[in-house]
Amino acid sequence: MKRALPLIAGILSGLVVLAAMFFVPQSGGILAMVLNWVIIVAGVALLVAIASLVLTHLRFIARGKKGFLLSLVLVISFLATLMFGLIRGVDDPVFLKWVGAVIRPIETALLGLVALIMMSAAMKIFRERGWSALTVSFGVSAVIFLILGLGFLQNLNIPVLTEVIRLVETLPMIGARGLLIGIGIGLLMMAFRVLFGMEGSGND
Amino acid sequence: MLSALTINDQLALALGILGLLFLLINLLLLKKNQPKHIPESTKQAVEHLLHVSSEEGKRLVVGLGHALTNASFDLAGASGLSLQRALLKRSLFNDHPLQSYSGDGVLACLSRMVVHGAYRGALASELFSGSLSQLSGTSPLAYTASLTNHIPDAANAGLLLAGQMSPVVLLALDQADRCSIPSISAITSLSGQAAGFIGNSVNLMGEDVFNAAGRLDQHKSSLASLSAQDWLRVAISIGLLLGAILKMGGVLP
Repeated sequence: MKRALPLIAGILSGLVVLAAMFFVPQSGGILAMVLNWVIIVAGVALLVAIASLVLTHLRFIARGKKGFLLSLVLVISFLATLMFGLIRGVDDPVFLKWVGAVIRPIETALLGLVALIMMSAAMKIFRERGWSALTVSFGVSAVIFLILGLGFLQNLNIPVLTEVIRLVETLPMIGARGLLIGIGIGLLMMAFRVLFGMEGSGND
Repeated sequence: MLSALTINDQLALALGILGLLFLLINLLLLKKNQPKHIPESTKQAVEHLLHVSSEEGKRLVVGLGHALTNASFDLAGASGLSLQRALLKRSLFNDHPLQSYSGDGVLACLSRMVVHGAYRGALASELFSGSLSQLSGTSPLAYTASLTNHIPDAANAGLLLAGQMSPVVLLALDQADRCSIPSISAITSLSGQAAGFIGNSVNLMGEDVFNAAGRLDQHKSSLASLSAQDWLRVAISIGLLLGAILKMGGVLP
């Protein structure tokens, strides 16, 4: 009974939300209400997760675990941001400026790094996976779409070429749709398993 | 009431009902109808995971992604949880149990429930530690940066990325490659799958992403859903072919 009640409540609410998604006018704002509940629960869950994260790192510091200095940085920066936000308010321009001044350069640097790593990984793929039909077609298509992305060929205004380019540009969509159908099927089955309580919490 | 739905809604509804029907049939007939076809990539990936988590006795790092409720509500973001549960059951009493990192508050809480449930199910609640399932950043970049930082540890034997992730996750895959840690990516987003492909990892694509857990835990519902997936795939293929023929014949507008 202890496990059955939450399961029944979960199944019923899942079915109601599913039905409300298809019959929007008849559902009378159920979706909006449930969405509000989900936002509140998600907010609380985030708070719980953050509290747990901070506690875990405080334990690391107390035990002097390897890499505890990073935990110290995390806790100090978290507390500083929290205090700053509580005192000045989260919409305060000075608060946003200071937080942004720390986060934006780091994120920009990471994105720059991703671009470099992506290029290096694309080169390494031939060394790691060898010259196969898959890797060669990957390399050739990357070069073709790089050239098409420049827009130079499109500006030549040759009708046959324009038609060929249009055809080539639809190819990734075909592949993507194939993958998306597969993901959709997998997701549908997963949704049913979750909806009917077949996905346990590990204790089954 | 149904006439008010668009053609896409009607199609989605029909596919959903068909999927549910196939799942129920497979649940009822499972003993007679074990899924025979499990893609090779999934099988290889699973065997590899078992090897690193059980035989080497080292820690398996699982990245569960950063998108369950962050930007929008996306169930695909929770796809790593079933894998985490299946792997955790085999590494509960290892020297280094499975360690997971989430980039979403709800995902972190659910992941912790999975870890706690696994220990409780094994009657070993006293071994449960909250640090086995951690939140590690609430934006894609913060999450990836934190995950990347956790990879170069001598006790790590493998990296599994399962869930909704952006291509930025290539940073983590590259780090794993540099540390000679084998990695497996079962990412549900298309751009993430592309990153997994070039990131020198065993890369699961399409519905394979959702199959790995079923192969691992051999749970009745997972196996039934694998069979139902196959049936649904056949039904969709027939539908697409039929649609194309009708369209060419001018029957469909």
